Amino acid sequence: MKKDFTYDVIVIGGGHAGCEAAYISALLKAKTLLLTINLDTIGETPCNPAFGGAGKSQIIREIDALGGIMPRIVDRSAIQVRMLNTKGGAAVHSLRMQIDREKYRYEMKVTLEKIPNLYVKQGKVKNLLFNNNELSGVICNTGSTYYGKKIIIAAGTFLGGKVILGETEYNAGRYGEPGSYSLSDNLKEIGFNTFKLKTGTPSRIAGNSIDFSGLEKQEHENIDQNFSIWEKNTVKNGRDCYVVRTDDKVHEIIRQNIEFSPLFKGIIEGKGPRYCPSIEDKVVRFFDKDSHKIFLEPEGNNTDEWYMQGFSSSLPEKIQNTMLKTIKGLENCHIFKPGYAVEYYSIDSTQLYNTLESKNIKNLYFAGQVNGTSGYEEAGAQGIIAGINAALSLKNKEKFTLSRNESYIGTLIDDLILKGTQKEPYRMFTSRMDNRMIARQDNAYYRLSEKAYLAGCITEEQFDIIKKKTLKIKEVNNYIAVNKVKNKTFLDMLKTQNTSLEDFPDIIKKFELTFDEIITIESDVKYAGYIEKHNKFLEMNKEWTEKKIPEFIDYFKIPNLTIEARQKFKEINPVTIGEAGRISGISSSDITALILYIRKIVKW
Amino acid sequence: MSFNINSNRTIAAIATSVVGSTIGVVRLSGKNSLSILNSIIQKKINKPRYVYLRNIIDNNEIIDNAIVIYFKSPWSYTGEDMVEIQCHGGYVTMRRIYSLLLKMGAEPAQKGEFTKRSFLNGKIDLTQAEAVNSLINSSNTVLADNSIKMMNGIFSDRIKDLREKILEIIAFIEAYIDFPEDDVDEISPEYLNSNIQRLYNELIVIKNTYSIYKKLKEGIKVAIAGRPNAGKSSLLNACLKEEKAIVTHIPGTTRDVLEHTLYINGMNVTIYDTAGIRSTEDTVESIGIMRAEKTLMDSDIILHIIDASVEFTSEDKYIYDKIKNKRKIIILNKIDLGKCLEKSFFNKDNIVEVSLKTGEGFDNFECLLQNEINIENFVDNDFDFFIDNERYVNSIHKVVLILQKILDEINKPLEYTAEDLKDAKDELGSIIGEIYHDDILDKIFSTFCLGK
Ligand SMILES: Cc1cc2nc3c(=O)[nH]c(=O)nc-3n(C[C@H](O)[C@H](O)[C@H](O)COP(=O)(O)OP(=O)(O)OC[C@H]3O[C@@H](n4cnc5c(N)ncnc54)[C@H](O)[C@@H]3O)c2cc1C
Ligand SMILES: Nc1nc2c(ncn2[C@@H]2O[C@H](COP(=O)(O)OP(=O)(O)O)[C@@H](O)[C@H]2O)c(=O)[nH]1
Repeated sequence: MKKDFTYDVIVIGGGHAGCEAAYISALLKAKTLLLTINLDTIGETPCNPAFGGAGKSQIIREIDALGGIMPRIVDRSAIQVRMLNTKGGAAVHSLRMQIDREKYRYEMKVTLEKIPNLYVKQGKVKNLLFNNNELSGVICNTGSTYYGKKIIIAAGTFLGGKVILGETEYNAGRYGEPGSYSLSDNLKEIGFNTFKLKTGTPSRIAGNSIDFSGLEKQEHENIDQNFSIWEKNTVKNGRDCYVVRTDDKVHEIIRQNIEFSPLFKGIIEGKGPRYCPSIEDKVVRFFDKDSHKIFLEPEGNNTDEWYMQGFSSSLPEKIQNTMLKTIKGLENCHIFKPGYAVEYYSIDSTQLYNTLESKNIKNLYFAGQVNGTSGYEEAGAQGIIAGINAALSLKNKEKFTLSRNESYIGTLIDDLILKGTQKEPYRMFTSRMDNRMIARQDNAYYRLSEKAYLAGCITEEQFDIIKKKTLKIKEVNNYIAVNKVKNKTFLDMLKTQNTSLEDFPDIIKKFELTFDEIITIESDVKYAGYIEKHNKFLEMNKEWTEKKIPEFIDYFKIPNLTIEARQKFKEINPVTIGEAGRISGISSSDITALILYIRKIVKW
Repeated sequence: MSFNINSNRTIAAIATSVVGSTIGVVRLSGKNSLSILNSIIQKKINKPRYVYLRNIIDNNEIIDNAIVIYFKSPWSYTGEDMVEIQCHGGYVTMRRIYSLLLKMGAEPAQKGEFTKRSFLNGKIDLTQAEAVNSLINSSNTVLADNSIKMMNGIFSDRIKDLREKILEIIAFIEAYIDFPEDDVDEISPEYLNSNIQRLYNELIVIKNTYSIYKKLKEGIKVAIAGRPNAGKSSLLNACLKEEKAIVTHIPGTTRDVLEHTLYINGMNVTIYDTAGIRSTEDTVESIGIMRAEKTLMDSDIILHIIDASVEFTSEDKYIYDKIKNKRKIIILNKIDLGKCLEKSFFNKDNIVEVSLKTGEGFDNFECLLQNEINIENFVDNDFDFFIDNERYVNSIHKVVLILQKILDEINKPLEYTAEDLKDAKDELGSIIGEIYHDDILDKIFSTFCLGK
């Protein structure tokens, strides 16, 4: 074994999961190799040129609180900033940024190149290597072998990937890039359950062929917001997006050509996400809707490519072309790249622990779309958790996990390991949270940074910034609880619906509060009742939810357990009672039966 | 109750009473149901849900001629393979068949095991399982009829329906929040208000049906009132004689009020015989009278007995005025002695003339009494079922409070309403004992066309 080819951690795949995993692992001083099929597609955003939005902005802020890289790269490459859901309170506020796709890739690549301990390399992994049944490294299709103690697979849509466009289909990881077939077979051989999923993307069209006049504009908002707290970036000359609408002409074309749709012909077997339906899917399923909204989003400042959000299609290019031309503003449009669908294999994420390590094969981790999720943020979230755990376990440090209650990332991973994604690719929504009033985009740092600091993911200086902010917020909380205007404390005033901290500019000035700090203070007051109720509920159940289920348990021996529960438990092998209760199809009486039985066989 | 549900065990039980019926049912549930059946009949059967007439054979001897039906899993009560043997009634035959089944490999079912299996196999929900239990424990036919409705899911269907309606509102809100860029309209406070109000009203109606159950459990209270010698004891005796077989004697706690429980119209009826009620100066006696008056006022029906062979006395009038606003039957007694008081004197409907001595007119009285003893007379609401478990009341009460809170704060940002509605939804789910996963997202995607 040459030392050159030996690493602590090997990350397979330079997508959003892989980049995040490799970055944090190197930061935690593990000698890390990032292997990816093509160096120039590191950080590629194959779908929307946008990050954030409902359920996702919260994830990005959490990644930032954990010291990840995605938030900074998004800020650096942003070309439009907007805050969504401002009619509601902070629990639903969601920051969204349109990015320059080329810039994003570039920034990610050059950033990673410069990180100490991180070795980026072009190479396509063919097989995992084992030594005495222990994972020892990977072999690439060039024959190069790399040894590593921990391996993180972040192969995205590439496992067994197939691109489908109209009546043609061919092997590919995504448009213009080769897929990963031997690695896919290899994973099946070593015991992973895999299943097919599908996703799709709309066409990109030439800006100079679009008639923007008279189109509804969606403007860049001049707000002082970043995803990352660690560096300051400002969007200069923010770009606008545009809205067009389909009408019956498009729908008629689809109805007449539905026979050419691979989806309806049955060429596509994989389950696609309901939240990203193709335009043909929308028209067929919601036939009474007479118009669908389409956003035109610029893909960057140096390119004339425009992304058509809401117009995913895998119909033949000719039909896509005819459809587009019936839309107002697109009468003369030129397609740069037609929309297409991609079908790929995911592994069954219920075969993983909440560290994203495989339950069957030690030292092997999975992160990103390979686990059946979809979305850059979801991929990044898993990347950072897998990366931290791989690096920490090298030094036998305690595992790093987040709970559902403190984070979106915790909820994401909990859902993955307990529910799996066989039904459809998993995307985060704010409604997936047990209580979104607690975990918000404005307070990610107060929730997670201490943990991140203790694990070594953020520096002393970084943590100091958070500590200072925490202290300041505490001071403000004390101040408003004691000081009064007209016999009423500021706190009591804030509790009423239409009062905001911004109504008291003196306080803001006195404490030099930032926009996010104002939101945090105010929301904690407004949501107090709900937060308390939720915490009480957790406290009440804590005695049980955190109890470990003995490993030797035989679920088929438990009296009064429904047949379905026995099978589910055996399949998923929950680690704690709390996990057991969150598996779908499990009822409260199943949990009672389980607890009673365990109490009989072991001293808890 | 705890026993091993082992799907390898095939259980057998006698399902109907072994006394007093001409036909009885013995049944089997479990994997080997069909093979065990086929081992005791002459010509084997295999089609599920077909009715076969077969001889039951034990040691080459025909022990009965019975109808046998095979139910194939999961389309059976327990969700397992099941067999029903409809044999001739009576202890001997049924016992013989039952023993034969055990000999062929079936095992005795434990108490409630069929229902338990049904629950464990997901055939019935929690309220339905509870209904089976309350059916077995029903003390009267009205309760039993209701339990059967509950068992068939009338209540859980209503709860599911209400839960579904809440889910729809949540989906509306969540789609608006989670898809801020799509065509989802913001839910208006007016829409919210009217929908929540409707749910609120429906739940209150259901919650109030519990008073019916409570009324039925405690029974209908009937008090006999009348001045001394009007014929109160005679009336009580006449009533008790009619119902002799099922009278239970509960000695009154005081000698001022005696109570007896009868069974009329499928309901428990307690008759209180109050001592004479009149105005008095005597303090000791007046304590007794006060107690009697209280019994009178607490009762559901008063039987006011009046000696009609004499003039309407001031004592009669004293009682008559006291109970002016109560539901009652006026009994003009002693008509054998000649009528001094006429029905027309009272200008009332519920009035009957009898002679408790000769028995004349007593059947008219019984008719009147039976009409009065109808649960609908004692509850304010129309109902097609009533809830019979405190657990349901508590849960519904919690939901009602949550909905009230939403109505009070109808203009708050939608994430508040959503949070409250989720609590309400989960509480309703807990009544049925089901935990739902991803139901909100499922609802969103089946209702709205969303996504990029
Ligand atoms: C056509 C298409 C449409 C999409 N539509 C949507 C959408 O509508 N909504 C949405 O939220 N998301 C969508 N996405 C998904 C989104 O792009 C991904 O979720 C996200 O990029 C996943 O990140 P990842 O890191 O898991 O994988 P990827 O970004 O796919 O990265 C995988 C990486 O692994 C590398 N790799 C693969 N195999 C090997 C190997 N054997 N050896 C070395 N390297 C390897 C690849 O080169 C690649 O760099 C779409 C993706 C595609 C391709
Ligand atoms: N002739 C006649 N006597 C009756 C009738 N009903 C009751 N009595 C008699 O009236 C007396 C008082 O009856 P009782 O039932 O003890 O009255 P109470 O004091 O109201 O309980 C008894 O002697 C009864 O036998 C009736 O219908 N006709």
